[in-house]
Amino acid sequence: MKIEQIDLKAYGHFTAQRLTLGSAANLHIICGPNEAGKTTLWRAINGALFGIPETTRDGYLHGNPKLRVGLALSSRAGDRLAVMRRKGRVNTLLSYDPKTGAELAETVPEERLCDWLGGLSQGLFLAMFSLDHDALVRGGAALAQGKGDAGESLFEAGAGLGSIRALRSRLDGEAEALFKPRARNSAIYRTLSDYDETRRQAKDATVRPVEWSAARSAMETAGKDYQTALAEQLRLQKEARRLERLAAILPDVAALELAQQQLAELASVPILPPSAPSERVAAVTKRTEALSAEQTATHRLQQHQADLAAIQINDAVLADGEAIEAIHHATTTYREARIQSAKAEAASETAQGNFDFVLRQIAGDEKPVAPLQWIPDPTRTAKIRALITSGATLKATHQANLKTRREKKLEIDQLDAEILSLGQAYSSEDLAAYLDSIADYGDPEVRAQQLEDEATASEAKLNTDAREVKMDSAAAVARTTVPLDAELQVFRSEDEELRRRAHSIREAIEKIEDDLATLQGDIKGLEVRGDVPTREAVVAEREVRNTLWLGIRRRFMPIPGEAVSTESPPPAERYEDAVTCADDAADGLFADAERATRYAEFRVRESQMQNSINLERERQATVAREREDLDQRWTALLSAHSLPPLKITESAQWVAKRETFLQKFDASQAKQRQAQQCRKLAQDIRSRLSGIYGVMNLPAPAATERLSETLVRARGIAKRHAEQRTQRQLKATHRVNADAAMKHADAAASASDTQLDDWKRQWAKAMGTIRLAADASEEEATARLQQLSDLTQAHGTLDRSRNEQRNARIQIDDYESRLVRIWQRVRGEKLPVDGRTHDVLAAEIYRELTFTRAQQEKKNTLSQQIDDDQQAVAEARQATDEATMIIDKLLAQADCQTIESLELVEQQSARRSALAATVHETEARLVKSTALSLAEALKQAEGQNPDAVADALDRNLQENEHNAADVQQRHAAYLTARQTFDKMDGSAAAADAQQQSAQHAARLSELGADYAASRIASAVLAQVIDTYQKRNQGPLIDKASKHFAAITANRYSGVVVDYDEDKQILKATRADGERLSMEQLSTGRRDQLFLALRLAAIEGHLDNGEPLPVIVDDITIQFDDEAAAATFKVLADLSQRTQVLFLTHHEHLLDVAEAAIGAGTYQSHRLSS
Amino acid sequence: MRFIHCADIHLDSPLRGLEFYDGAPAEEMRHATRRAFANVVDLAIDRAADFVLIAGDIFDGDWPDFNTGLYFASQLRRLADADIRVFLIHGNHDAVSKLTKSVPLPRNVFSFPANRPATEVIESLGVAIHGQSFASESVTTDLSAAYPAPHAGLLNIGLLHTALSGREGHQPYAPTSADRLTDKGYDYWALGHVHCREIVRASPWIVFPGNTQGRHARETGAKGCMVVEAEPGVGIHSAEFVPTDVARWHQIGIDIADLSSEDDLHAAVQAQVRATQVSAEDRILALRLTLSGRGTLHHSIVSNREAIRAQLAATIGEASAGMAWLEKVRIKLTAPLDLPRLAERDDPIGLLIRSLESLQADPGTLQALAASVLSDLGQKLPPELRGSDSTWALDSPEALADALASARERLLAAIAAEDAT
Repeated sequence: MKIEQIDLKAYGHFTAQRLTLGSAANLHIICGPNEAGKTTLWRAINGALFGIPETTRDGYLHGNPKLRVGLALSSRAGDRLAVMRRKGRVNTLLSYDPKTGAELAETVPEERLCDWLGGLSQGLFLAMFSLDHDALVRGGAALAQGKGDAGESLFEAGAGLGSIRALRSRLDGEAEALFKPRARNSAIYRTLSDYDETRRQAKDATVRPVEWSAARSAMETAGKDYQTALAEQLRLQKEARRLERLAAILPDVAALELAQQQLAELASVPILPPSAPSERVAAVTKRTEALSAEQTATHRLQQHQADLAAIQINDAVLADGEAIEAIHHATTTYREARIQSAKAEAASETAQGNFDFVLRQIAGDEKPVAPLQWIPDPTRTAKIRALITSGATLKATHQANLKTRREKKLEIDQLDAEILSLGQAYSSEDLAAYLDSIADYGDPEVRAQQLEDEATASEAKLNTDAREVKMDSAAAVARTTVPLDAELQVFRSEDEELRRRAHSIREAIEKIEDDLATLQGDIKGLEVRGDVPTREAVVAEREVRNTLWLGIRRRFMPIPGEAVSTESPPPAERYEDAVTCADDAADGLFADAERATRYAEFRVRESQMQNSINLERERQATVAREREDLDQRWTALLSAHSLPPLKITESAQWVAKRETFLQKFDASQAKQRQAQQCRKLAQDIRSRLSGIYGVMNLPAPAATERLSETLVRARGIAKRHAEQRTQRQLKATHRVNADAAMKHADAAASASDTQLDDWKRQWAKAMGTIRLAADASEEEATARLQQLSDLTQAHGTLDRSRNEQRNARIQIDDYESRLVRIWQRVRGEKLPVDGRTHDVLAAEIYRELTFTRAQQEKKNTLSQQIDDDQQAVAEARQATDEATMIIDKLLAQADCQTIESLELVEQQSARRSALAATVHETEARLVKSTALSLAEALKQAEGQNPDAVADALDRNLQENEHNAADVQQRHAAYLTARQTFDKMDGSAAAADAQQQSAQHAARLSELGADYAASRIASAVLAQVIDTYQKRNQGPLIDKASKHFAAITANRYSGVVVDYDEDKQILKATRADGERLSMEQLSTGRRDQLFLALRLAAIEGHLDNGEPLPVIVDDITIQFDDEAAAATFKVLADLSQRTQVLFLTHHEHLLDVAEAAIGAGTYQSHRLSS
Repeated sequence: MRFIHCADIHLDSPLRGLEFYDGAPAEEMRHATRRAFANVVDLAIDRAADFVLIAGDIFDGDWPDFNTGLYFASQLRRLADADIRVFLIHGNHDAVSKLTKSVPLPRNVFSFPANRPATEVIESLGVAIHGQSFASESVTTDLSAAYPAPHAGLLNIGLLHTALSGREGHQPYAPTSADRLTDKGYDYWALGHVHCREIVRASPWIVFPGNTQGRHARETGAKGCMVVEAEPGVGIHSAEFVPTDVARWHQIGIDIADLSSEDDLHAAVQAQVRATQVSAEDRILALRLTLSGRGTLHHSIVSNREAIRAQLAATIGEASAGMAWLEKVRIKLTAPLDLPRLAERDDPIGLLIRSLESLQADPGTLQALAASVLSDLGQKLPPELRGSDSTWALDSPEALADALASARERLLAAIAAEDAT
């Protein structure tokens, strides 16, 4: 591929600049001083070939949407392609006319340009066919870092990738970070540690069924032991209680007997109630106290009656009590009213002065009769203030309306002129609507072609793929059907079963045969020591001997009655031999019995093995028949579904491949149908456009015109017509709006004028009401309103002061008249006039009321006390009578006359009752403590020795203590066992730990997969580097040597592969033959060596199909002129095979190039800034 | 009459594949299988069910923790307190479990024997329940064949642990077919073993309720039990599925083709998470996210997998208010390269691509390569994480294929890196 022309239509600072590269010379030196855009050109070429980057900064002048770079390309075969790249996301590659530079509407599929670029991505194209100074420096540095590792260096140069070493390091680093055999802190080790820990936790938390059973069993056993000990404890405690009861009742039994004896002695004493002594004491005491109380109450009664008679009260004071209290409470108000009256009188005089002053300001010397009538009411005042405000607003509004009317007039005149300047237009809605309706279809012709190409390619590929699935064609595959999964599964199962059985039988046969061979070896081992004597052989030898003997005997010693044999008897020697053989055989059998026995056993086993082999072979034959049957059924199944001759084991894989194949086949068919639809759509569009053009009086599209061009032209027409129509509609709308606004302004001005006249009439009338002239100004009116307001305020103050004075007087008069009336009623005389004021007199009569009320209270209290005293005397006399009656009753019960004899009888009676109670209590205690009837309890105690009972109790106590410790121990054991069992409560601890373990396993899975990917990637890369080196080392080194010698002006003769220990490294060979490693070379020389390697690799790439242009960007920047000239020579040689673009901003390099390679071998271009 | 039909409870079996990270709702996810079963019990009590059927696999394999059995028994006691009977069979997972043999079950529970089919008749309800437990882990005969004939006049229910004629991902135990079950003449077949809910047939009813709680990324969607309304002499009125799961598994797929930035990616993920959360009725989510397609984000995602995963976890946490757990991010992206054309090139890139394709097509060579570079790690892994019994094996063909795919995308991302700008 060759770039014949670069059209920098709009890119960076370039506008409509063209570089023509189509001359005979294939080396182009493009020179531009700094800021002339050399780098921008480099980006523009890249953008044109691979798309303008989303984040480009080259749109600063033209704007991103308008960026355009055109390229005219030609191929070695003479094909041409002209494309214009625009900035965007889709359809950014357009067709363009390289002669005029005009952009065409037709989009060019990206794949087409990609084909021209040999399928290379931008990164690969730049890596392989682009060279710049930075890349040289990076390459040189990589050579130094890799110490010239031959494989890596050649691979990097060959691929143009300066990062192979870094990539390998990164891959290895990633893998080692994940796992390194002895690095315990690697991620996988750490996760494995976590995994093991959670597995251990799960194991620890796990309760195995046997543990649960054991725990339950242990708990039950411990429970039984505990219950047994507890029962023994209960028994001992029961016995202890019995003994304790016995020990406890023995003293009571003795006491009971004694009490019963004493009770019998007091049988004649009368039984008095237990309360008799206390009743006696209470009655005597009560009678004594009652006599004393009667005497005290009589004395107190007499004293109270004397006090009551001494009290005197004025009833008139009490009758007027409420009135006296009222006048007393009103005294404070009375005093305040007197002060308030004086204050109001002074304020009234001051207010009268103010009122007179304001009135003089308004009326001057005039003395109005009713000045208050001049003061307008609040409504009138508000109306006058509103008139002042509305007058100002109305005047401003009127001025604004007049201004608006003038402006609208001017606007209408201007719009009329513009509308006149726009002519008539034809309607084109149908065209626009139709174009909109087909906008989504794009270019059906191009799409149809694409689909057809893809379908054809796909069909060819499918036919190839069909052979891979053992079918003649794609259609044949499509005609196939597949059996149900279940059917295939049955076949697979049977096939697998037969294989398994066959394998099993084969193994069995092999094993038996092996055993048989061993056995036969053993038999031979027995036989190698001579014939093995057998019982059968002895029998056979004896049979021979006996037959021979029978012949001899029949001939020479016939049995009586037996016919003499006529046959010749066997020779005697033969018989003797037979006798000897039989004896030898018998002797041998006897002498070698063990060998014979083993031999016989071996033979039996040999026979059994043979039988087993035969049996297995029969089974093998059966399997073979089943296999044959299965194959026949399988063949029938394949035939029924038109399937190729597949093996059963291949079926699943084949069905999967078929499924994939059919998806592709369907996709191919779908593409063909889509292509047909696109073709038909294109035809429909042409017909429809012709019809619409006819309506618009436009010529129909030419039949030879491509649909894309037709569509672009139609869109242009529709757009132009639409724009004109829109303009006209817009102006007319504005004219209508302006007319309406003008009318509105007229009406507004007229209305505001009328409103202003009306306002003036209202103003004149209002001024009359406040005693001003009709033409008074707003300021005068405001001042008058303020004066009238002041007059109103002064009058209000005067009126208020007078009212206050009047009210105070009324209060004073009322107080004094009420006091006069009260004094007359209480004292029966007139109020004294002795200089004391009314309030002092009122206080005096209030004190008298207070004293009288206290006396009345005292009188009431004494009356109540007299009643109480009379009642106390009566009650004391009644108590004396009651006590006397009780004492008489007690004497009668005890049958005695005096109080003293009564006391003795009471003591004897109490003694008798106490003994009876003791007997009863003892009996009750015996019943209660023994839980037996009294008779039984006494029977138990009968004859018991307290000492023997005490001994038994001691023994029981010791046994009980011993047993209690045992119970405690067993109870503790039971609790422990139960606690252990209760801990097994369905906890999810083990499941939790297992879940965490699964999480670590998932982590390990991820890390392991990453580790495997890194390791495999690194290994693959190493293999590829090694393979590439082996295949290409020779040619690459040869070419690179040639270029290196040329660039270094033969100071170096080339590059060689040398060994550093067991590693292959690159070394540079000086002209004198010395070999220098990469570390020994200067930086510049290493860059040149890398350049030589790159150029050698580029020459290699040129063999990979269509040669692509090589773009070189200022690589000689650090070279001296000699090296630069040598580089130009190398590039000139390279340009014999492909186009070379050399970008530089060093003008003098043109002279260097001319001197080195001659003016005719390259074409120079200068970029203008 | 109303009964609950559930199966495959797998009490206390861990939820697989959930790698812990800060912000993961681990606490909310705890005891999921227990809580799911408690939900079944709650449901039975709330709906006043007459009895509950459990169609096997109550416990997960030979899980040794007796606490699990005690928990199960405690839940059954709740049913006993509510006067609800329970009929259960043992499946392949709990046939030989020591828990099955040792756990003391309350009196309201009837466990069908393993040596023969049995029938339990509830006279008061007019129901006959037929069933048989697994005697061993692997039952390859058709147990249903020996089930007794239906009892005339009663509602006949068959309780069976089976995969019918085969279900993907499940061992073909106790094989039978829907037709055979239909021929039995029962009204309702309460099946277990298949974790995916399926009403195989509605006349008669042949129902897999699925498991009560999803446990890994392949068990997505709602999990629960069936509430069945029936009437003796008439038949089954309805079978309503009621979810009981407390955490729900879901798979989200994002195609990066139209995404131009990582912000777009996170926005797309958030939108799907929110939609998923709504459909899951605000349960805890366990999400597997698959990134696929071919786009400009390939390099940044493939080259920064760990960071992207952490960011996506944070995004999902934010979108779900901390109620979702990112189980795994599966990266199935395609490098933005014309690989067929590049593979044809006779240069390092072509060689690399061909080598990767060659390894992809030849598992044996890949296995050999992996053996040489992964043996150190393989030796360090505990036995249960190696070998075929593990859910993940470092050197299984599937794991190696995934590792190779990941390695391939990393290498392609490195060579496709565009530093031209």
